[in-house]
Amino acid sequence: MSKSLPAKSMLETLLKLPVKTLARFKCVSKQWHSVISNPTFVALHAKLSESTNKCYLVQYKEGNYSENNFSLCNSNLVQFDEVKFPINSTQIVSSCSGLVCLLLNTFHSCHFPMFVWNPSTRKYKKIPSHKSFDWEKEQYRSSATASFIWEKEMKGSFATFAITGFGYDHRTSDFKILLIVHAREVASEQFRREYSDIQVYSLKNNCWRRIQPNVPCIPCLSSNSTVHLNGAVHWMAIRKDSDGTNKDIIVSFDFGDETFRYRKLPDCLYNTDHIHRERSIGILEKSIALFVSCHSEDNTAGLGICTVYVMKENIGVEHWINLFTVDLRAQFAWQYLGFGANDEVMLRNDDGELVFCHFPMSPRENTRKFQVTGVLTGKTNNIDPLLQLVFVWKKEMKGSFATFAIIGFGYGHRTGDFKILLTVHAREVASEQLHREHNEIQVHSLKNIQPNIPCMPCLSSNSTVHLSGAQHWLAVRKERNGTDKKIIRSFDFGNGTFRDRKLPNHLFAGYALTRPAMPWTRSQPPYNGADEQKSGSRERADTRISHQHHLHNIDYREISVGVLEKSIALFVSSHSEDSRTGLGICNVYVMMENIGSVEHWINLLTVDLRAQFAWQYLGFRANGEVMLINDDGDLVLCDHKTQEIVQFGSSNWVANAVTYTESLVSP
Amino acid sequence: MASSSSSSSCSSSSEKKITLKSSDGEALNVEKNVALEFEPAKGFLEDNSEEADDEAIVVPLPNVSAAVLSELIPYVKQRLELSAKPVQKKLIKAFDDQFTRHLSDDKLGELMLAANYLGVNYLLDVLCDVTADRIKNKSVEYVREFLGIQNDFTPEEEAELRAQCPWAFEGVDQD
Repeated sequence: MSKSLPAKSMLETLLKLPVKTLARFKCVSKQWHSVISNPTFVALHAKLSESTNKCYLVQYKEGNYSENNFSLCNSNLVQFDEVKFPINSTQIVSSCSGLVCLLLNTFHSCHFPMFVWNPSTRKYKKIPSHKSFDWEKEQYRSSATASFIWEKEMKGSFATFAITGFGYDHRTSDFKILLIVHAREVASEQFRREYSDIQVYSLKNNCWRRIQPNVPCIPCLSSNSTVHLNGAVHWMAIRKDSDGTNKDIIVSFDFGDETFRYRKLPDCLYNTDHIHRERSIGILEKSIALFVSCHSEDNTAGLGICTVYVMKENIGVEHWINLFTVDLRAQFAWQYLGFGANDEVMLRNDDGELVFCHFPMSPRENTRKFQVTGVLTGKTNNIDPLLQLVFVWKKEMKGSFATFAIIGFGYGHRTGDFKILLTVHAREVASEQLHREHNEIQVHSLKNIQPNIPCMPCLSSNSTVHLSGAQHWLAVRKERNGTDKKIIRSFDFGNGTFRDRKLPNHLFAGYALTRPAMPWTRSQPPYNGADEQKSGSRERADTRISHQHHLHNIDYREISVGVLEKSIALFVSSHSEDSRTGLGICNVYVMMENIGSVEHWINLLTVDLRAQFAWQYLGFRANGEVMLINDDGDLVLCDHKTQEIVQFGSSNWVANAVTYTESLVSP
Repeated sequence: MASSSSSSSCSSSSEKKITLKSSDGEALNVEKNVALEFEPAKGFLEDNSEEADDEAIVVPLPNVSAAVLSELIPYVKQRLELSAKPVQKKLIKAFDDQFTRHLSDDKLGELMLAANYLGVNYLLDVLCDVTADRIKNKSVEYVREFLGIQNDFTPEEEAELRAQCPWAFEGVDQD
């Protein structure tokens, strides 16, 4: 093509090119450089890209939790483009016109550092600090009710919860960020001061502005995930109704006129029988959409019905339309991530894979068929999404206190609702002699708030697992003889009681239960921990054998608690310090219940990790496999049934994903 | 826009023939509804509407060669037939793909100039798509050559621009 193109066609052609190509073609000539840099061209390109160039921004987490990587992939899930954000430990707030708002995970409850980033052009901008919150001034007082995550520690004892949203204000042609922080005093039972602070950031003016709420009851926060549509940010919230019950609603904040708006959910979602519904808000077909998954309580069928509602407007009146209902084929733990391009639903399955489901519209049939259009494989995530949602705890208080918290989330079958357990243990670290200790335990019910459960210390790991209405974690208990002993502590959401369970006895012996080098061996018949005498002799016999073969001083044992085969499971790795052998034996124990309520531990399997002693336990998979991360950061799966070890090349797992349209818009 | 005006006149004037005269002096006979798709021809016909006999009209198209016109006419004809029927967009796209797939780069440029001159916007749109697709993964040097663009940057300026976004130069096709 030797002849030069007409200017109009040249512009048309450039508008159809992806951002990466355009960035390269800025070097073609001065004319091209000025065309591609022109704000009008950028705006046109962004608009065109919105309708044609739908893609996804997928956030992966690597072995180190703080690190995260992003990948841009097109809507067909074939072309991947790795992009790095230079600052670690961020989470996606929202994406709009090619820009992504990221929130830095900090250990501070009153500070929300944010970035606006364009993954296509790799440019980003740090958003200046918002105005500091001063809870002592009462002008931001409101009568809001539900705040759902506690973050102790401010002046006095306050819990804070924040909403962040990102969007485009068409009126002023400006990108804006919404930040609502709600604080509630948690110290005294009678008098609870509550404050909220609403601030809006404008990208054009590069500054934060405080907004006086025009409605008395503002915050009603329940989820920190917000979606953006038509210049407004929308999120799910809980509001106290006139009859005193808490009702789920959708709150919207319009960036244009800075007003709040409340919308009811579909009526049928307000009758709660024995079904729990998990609701998530999204954008589908340019309307507010709700993804509702219903889990029947008797899990015999493992029922998971998902329904998608879309809010449509009809002569000025909004109403919900039941768009489609789908049976997720017993995959009831699939987690909603968002609505994707081409009306797909993005879900994360039990294995952490990203699943794209399509529900092809067929005007002739009434039903839509469930069709998985794409799966991003090999990526897993064992982090409980709701735990991620919880902002991490701050490590000190007034004086020199070290705080440690257990956060659990589970379903109380007895009361039929979801509860969050929060136990905080604070210990003074300043003086050697005097250790003041303070414990606080709170349970937050999604139905009603009922704090105050007697103190209970001893925390050792902040990873908790949930099984049949109770939360379990590893704890350290002081014994009568003054020694610390590891136990499993459980908190039953149903009746609010704690329960302690012993670990398998021989974990407290000074040597390991090892076997001659076999890469993958199932251990001898179960050892019964409930019948102490009998099991004690069995264990002695066992250890004597191992004593003869391998005598290793066990200097370090790593114990993790998980759920396997619907029982509490323990993953124990024993590392000998004697590095000549570099021994790494892993045992998996499962707690079984015998006739009645006698519980005992079964050594399900023993793995010789072939000197890979630094392998890190990640969790148990739904199918019973043990997930490990090896020294190279690869994900390794050990299946105790087939005795196979499968290694994945990639250790990344999907942390989050949003629909994304690429643009040249600069942050 | 083009399809709606043509479909109304389609039934009445489909048999009538118009003569188009190319830049190299060749005369081509086309149906009137096809000729009306070309902006200069449409204008010419409106100006000479008092002429009783359409057969006698010769529309000069001094910017388009006979070779290009003979490619364009069957395309426009079939496109008109397709858009007259309630066919799916997919079919039109398949037709466009088939038309553009085997075009040489030179032909693509000629067609683009012709479509621009003749105001056949739907074809121009398709051709822009094709051009964009052909240069998408190409190097800067290839594109300059391809489109006949003079590099007016100094080597220093170009090096500086390249250093600003090195990632944009990764994974580029061989020229």
